[in-house]
Amino acid sequence: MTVNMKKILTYALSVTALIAAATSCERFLDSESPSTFDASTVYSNYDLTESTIFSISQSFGETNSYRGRYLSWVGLNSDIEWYNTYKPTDEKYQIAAYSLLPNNGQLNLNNGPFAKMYEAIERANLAIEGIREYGNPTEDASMAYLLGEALTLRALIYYDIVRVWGDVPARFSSVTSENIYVKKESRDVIFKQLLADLEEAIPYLPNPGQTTATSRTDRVNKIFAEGLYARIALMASGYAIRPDDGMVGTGDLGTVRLSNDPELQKSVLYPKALEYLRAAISSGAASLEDYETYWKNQSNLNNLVAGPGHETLFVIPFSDGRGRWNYTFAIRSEGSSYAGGATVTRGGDAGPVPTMWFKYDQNDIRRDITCVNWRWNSNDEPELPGIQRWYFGKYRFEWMTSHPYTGGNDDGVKPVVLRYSDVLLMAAEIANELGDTQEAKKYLLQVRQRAFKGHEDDAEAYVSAISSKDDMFNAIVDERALEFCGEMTRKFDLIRWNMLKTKMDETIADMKALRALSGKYAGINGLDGDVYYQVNGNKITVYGLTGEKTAPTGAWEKKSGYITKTEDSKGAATGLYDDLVNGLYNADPIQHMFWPIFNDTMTNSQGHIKNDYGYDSI
Amino acid sequence: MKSTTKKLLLVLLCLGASLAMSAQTTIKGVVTDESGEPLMGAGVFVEGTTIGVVTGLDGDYTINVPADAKNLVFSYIGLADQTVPIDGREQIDIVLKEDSTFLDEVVVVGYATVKRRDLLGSVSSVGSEKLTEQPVTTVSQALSGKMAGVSVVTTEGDPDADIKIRVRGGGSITQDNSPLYIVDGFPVESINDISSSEIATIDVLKDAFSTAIYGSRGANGVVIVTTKSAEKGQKVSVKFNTYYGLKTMANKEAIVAMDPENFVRFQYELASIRDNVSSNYVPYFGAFGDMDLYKGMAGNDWVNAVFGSTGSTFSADASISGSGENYNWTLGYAHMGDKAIMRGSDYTRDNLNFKGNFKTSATTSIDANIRYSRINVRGSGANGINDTGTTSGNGRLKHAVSYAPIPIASSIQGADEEQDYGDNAPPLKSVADNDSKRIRTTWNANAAFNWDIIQGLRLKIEGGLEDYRQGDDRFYGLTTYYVANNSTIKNTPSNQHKEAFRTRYRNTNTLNYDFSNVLKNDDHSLTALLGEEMTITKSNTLTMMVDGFPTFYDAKMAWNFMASGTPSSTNNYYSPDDKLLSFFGRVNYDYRHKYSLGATLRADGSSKFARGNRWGFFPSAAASWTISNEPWMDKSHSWIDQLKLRYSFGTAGNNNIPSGQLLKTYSSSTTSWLSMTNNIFTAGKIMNNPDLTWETTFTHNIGLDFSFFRSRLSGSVEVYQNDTKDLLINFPIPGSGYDSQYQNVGSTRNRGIELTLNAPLVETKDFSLNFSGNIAYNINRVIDLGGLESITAQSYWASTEVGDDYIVQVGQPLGNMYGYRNDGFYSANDFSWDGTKWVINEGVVDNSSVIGSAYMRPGAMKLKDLNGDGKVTVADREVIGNAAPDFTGGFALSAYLKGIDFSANFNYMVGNEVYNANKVEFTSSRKFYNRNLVEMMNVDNRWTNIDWTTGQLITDPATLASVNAGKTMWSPAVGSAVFSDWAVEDASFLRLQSVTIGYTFPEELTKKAHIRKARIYATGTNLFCLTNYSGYDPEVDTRRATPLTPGVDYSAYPKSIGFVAGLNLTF
Repeated sequence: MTVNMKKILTYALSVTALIAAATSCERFLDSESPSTFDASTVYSNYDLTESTIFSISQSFGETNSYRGRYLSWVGLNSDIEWYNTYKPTDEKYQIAAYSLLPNNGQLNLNNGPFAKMYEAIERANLAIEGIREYGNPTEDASMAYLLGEALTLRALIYYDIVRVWGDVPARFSSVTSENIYVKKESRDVIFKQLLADLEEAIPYLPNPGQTTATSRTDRVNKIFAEGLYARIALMASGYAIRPDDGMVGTGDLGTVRLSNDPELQKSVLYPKALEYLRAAISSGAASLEDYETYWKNQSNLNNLVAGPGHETLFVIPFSDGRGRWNYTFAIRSEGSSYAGGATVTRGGDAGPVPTMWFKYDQNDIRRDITCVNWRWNSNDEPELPGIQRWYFGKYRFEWMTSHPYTGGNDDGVKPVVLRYSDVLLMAAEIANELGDTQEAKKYLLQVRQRAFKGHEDDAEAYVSAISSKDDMFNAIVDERALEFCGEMTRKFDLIRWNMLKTKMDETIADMKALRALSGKYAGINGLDGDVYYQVNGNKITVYGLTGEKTAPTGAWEKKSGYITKTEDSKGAATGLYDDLVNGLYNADPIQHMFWPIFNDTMTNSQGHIKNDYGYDSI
Repeated sequence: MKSTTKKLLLVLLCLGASLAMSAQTTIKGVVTDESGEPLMGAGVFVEGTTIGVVTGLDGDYTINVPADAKNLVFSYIGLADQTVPIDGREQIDIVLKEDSTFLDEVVVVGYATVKRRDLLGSVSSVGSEKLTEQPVTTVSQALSGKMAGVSVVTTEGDPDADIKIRVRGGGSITQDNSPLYIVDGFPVESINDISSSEIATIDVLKDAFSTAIYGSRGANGVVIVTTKSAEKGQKVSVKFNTYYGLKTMANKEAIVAMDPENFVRFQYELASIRDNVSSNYVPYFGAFGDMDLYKGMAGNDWVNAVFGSTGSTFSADASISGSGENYNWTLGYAHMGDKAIMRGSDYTRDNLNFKGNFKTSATTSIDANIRYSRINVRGSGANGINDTGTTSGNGRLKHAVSYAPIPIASSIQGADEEQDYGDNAPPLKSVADNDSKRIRTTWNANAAFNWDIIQGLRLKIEGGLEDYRQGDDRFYGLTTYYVANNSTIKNTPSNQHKEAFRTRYRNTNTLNYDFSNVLKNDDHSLTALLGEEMTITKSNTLTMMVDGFPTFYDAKMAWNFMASGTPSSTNNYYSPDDKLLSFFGRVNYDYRHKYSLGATLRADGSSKFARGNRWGFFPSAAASWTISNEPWMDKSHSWIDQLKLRYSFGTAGNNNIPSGQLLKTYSSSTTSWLSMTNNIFTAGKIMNNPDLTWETTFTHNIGLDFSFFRSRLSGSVEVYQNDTKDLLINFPIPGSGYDSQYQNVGSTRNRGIELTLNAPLVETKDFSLNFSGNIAYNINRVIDLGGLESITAQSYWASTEVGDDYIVQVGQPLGNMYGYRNDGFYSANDFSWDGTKWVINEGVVDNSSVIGSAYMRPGAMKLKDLNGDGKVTVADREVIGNAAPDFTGGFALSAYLKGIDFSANFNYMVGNEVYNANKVEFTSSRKFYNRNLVEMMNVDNRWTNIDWTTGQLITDPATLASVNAGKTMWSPAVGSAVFSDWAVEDASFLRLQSVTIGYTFPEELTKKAHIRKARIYATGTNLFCLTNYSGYDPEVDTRRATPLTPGVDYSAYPKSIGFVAGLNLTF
């Protein structure tokens, strides 16, 4: 008996020892990096959580994401902005001209916009889930701000995804092994989530200038979220090419139509949006600035300041050494050192269409700020290229005074995502749609008066002459072009209004009329298309674009046939030649208003994502 | 068979034996073997002279010896030499005994050594002679072609080149297939930091029975390196070896850039096709009428400027060793300096090692071993170890070929300057602007305590420590992509300083028991091994980026005055400790040396996997039957020494992924991209996966070992099947929110057969002739991809221009290249001129979606429309090649004649194909401007659309056809790089790796200088490579960021031909 007991005891002891040994083995083999934290640590600490929110924006700066590929192409071409070179075989031109294919070398990248924007979405999802679980946002206002910031950034990035691809996968929770591959979802599902998210976020967010974070335009504030709500509401309830309901991701060609979702109708969304916009406007936490000063500041760190007296509400938060905005859009410089930093051989990849300058009233100060027909040469002098080359005067290397351009491909300009005048014009548009044209006039007038600095009466006369809802709508269509030209939002306005092709066709016809000096351009030049120019230091004066009938006297250089010439002396095409003008689009812009899902994305989705809208699938 | 061989031997030996001229004494006798068989052809010599004879048919001999002769030496191949005192005898009959042979070589298997004749598994071995007889920079290189089933590919020609060792094909799809390296029991990352002079033997374990004892990571084979111990019986011995050599670029004629005239003509034609002559041609080259100026003009030979230097190598090593009854030790130092053929590229290595064994008592002993190495690599352009990436980054060849041969203005309108940064910089400037310096030091110390507790029971306690550090400086000059795009201070030089630290601890405790005392029966033999092992690896990497150096700084200045730049980021990342805890055991049973059985079991717990998934159990079993030891084989003993059949089955694991994949954790990183912060916390770009577990390989191996004619022909044949399951793959998942995730996906199979032969045809005192060779055949199949049909991959040599160019498909081998089928070029009749442009005729296949519609015209590259829809699209691609060879191997011939030794080593591959990306790049305009092409695209060879008398594009089909009669190449004008089967080439090759001729001075001469052995030699390396491959070298692999894209030849560092002279001294 005792022997048996002993045996049992020994046995029991050895089993215990074995288990103990096994457990300690397991513990020995658990290994974590000393350089990492887990989610509970990160999201219960404000500073660490903030660092993960910043990581959402890191994806903006990725080489082939917003920085190098998305922002450069997203808004091209519209009726007012174009990639002013006709190269049907060039993959860059193809993006702008709606003839891009899923293998487009600029965008078919595994680190391209699609992958990196979803990287940002995932980081936002992790932050949203983490703060909700560990951050106690209901009690802690600062954590609630970060939650609101994550929700708003996710809404912004999703808006940016949907506006170029239409229907895409909906990812509103962090990726697990089960949902690595997701099919495309109807954009309506995404819109509803984004709107609900912003509704949640807006109460969390202070107004611009109210806190340290919201005093900066690289952090999210209430007015930005409210404006974004309106922007998404406008898109969700507007026109776009859509596959038939239930046909998303089946290779459907789609038709241009409104959403059938009852929750995404104007009647549902507009009142809410207007409420937000009115709150934003009455808060006084943002204002219109002097137009010229504003754009000078835009190239500077001044546009990082938010709050009363400031117009910018949110920017893409590039550091002073990241981002290619001026590289792509500034006034072209052919080796000038005029900017004060390094020699510049950059800018001017895209510009306003040549007819744009003529659309402005001569008293509209936005005209010469927005449309510039000269560029810098290597002698630091302005020079006059052809009529087809206009540049966005809003963006100038020489205006970069707080962080001068030091060379290379990145310039540190922080592109504006939303500014106060857009809040006003959205409010005008929505109020008008809801039947209150008077309220709309109030908002339009503010924008118009600022543009007619010194001639405010002109603005008032123009606005008060608007008599109907339709007139008001047309005035807003025009005003948004005049106000935002070069800010790459026009294409999406035209899409939601279902005016993309008609407006671009109008521009093509206008450019042909301009070149022929016929129609509305018949009186702008009485010199058979010649113009004259004078260079005085760093200023150029052009003579002959505002109806002058006689050649100037004095030291003027003549540019023969500047407006009308389409062939140079060797017979090569130049100026506003047919191919270039017709090349505003080189494939049906309606059918291809969205980018295709690129091959790399489709391949890596293991067949879960397919292209619609008639793009070749692989 | 037997008699033929003997006759042959007789003839040969007669040649070798000199006539005995002065006959003082005559001695007669008969030489027999142990079984009493008379030995014909045995050598009988007077010791210390050249006087000798060979035995006749009945083993009899008669020899006249000088009066002062003391001893006679008897020798016979495969039997031990015997030295017999004459003592005035006239009749000396001798029985020669079995020598220790190939079969008695000691082979290292897991945690023990066995004699080859007792091997149950499959092991290939290389001894020190083979390693030191040819001068090589790294040990891995010396293994090339030496072992069946072990493929060694030197991926490029730079001195620190990555050397891919693959055992039996490698089963993994995207994980590292490199084998486990064990040096003196210690697992290491690489064996390239060891000097070949330090190595005694290298054993490669190939089948699962052999590798299973190593459990984890044994799946890709195990390479066991044993360093040299002191020679037994020499109180003190000193060895000194040195060599010096020169080398030049090999096969330089393979790639020759166009001369200025052809370059300019190409630019003109391209500008004409692109319709921008006035903006893109005239400003750089002048009017068309001035083209004659370029005729006969000499251009810069950039390839020669960059790679044309004569390289040199100097190596010296010295070792001193001693042994006594209770101790033996050896101490060695080796230095190698290699000045490579590329400008600014050099490599030095210093090694110091000590190894000792001390018998501390009758039952205990201590082994100790310390090694130190320091490697210093200088220069840009080496796509070296730790340097792989997806960008076309480092290879310098492309600049040398494509950079304009004449000076032209650099600013090119319409070109994307982002691409011109780094990619089209002046070649010499580009070399200087990408300079790098890498210093690797490793300390490795091991000690073991052995205790024979009772007779037959031995305890071994081992401890080891490895300390590794790599300091890396990478300079970015003004022409690099980094300074233009990523630097915080643009257009100023930058430097990245990186230090990687790794410390590894190991403790192994083993208990060996030999049951002979228990069994007390010579028929049965039973041994058992029980062990426990623990390894812990700690590592961290410190990375610093310093931007904003003054613009005149070169690399050296940036390295030496780092404080003059502005630090833009610093990070020190500590990886999770990689811990491995293992228990293992092995039992071997043997009955009468006829039947053997073995079994092993290993359990490995890895910290890389989560609880529940982390323990891998890797059992294996093996059996062997030594047929030759059966009584009924007795009759054949005269010619069969050994015939053994082996079979083994087993499993081995692989956990070769970075640690820390289990949990979603957040780590900090520096950013210079954001306005609000310089620091972010993220969960990283690789998604975590808590369900990861071991990748497991199941192996069946049948082997036949044979040895005939007293080892005059020996070798083995092996047949195997390896199934690898739950493959660990770093799976790309961009679009989900992460770039990739490690997953266990699918399975692959490798089947193959290997043959190894050793044939010491003649072996006598003064003359020997040896042949050894091996051949291996392996086929690989993907069995399953976890439900997916295929995985595609991009080599990215042209960024994303080419798209997917590799594909992994179920039922297909790995390494399949994926692209178009070339169909020559369009004829003038395929198009009609409509007055303004060429319009493709109906029924002619349209490939504008591939080459770009602007380039569609007569003479354009034509591709095959595989799906018959009238146009060539991405749907018309198929598998067009495979990088894996069918056969690999090598053979060596060596001979010795009176002090002169000769050896020649060959290696070969058959059936491997190379994706010649150079050829595509250097024959295509792509989107670029002002880049040069190769002579293949000279205007006389290629289609031209230009009327070279007027400079106009020809628009008349008939004229075009006549102008281009006999042209062999299409027009180089294409919108993007196209990967077609034209760029896939059979790269089978036979390479004479090295030829060595040496002379050993007679001992009588050297004895006076107290030198036991003095040898001088000369070696030529890479003297020829027979191949049809059109590039520099068929053995190439440049896109190594993922194992999915093997065999791409893109901008590789060229290999060289070398001549070396050396000296070996033993005191």
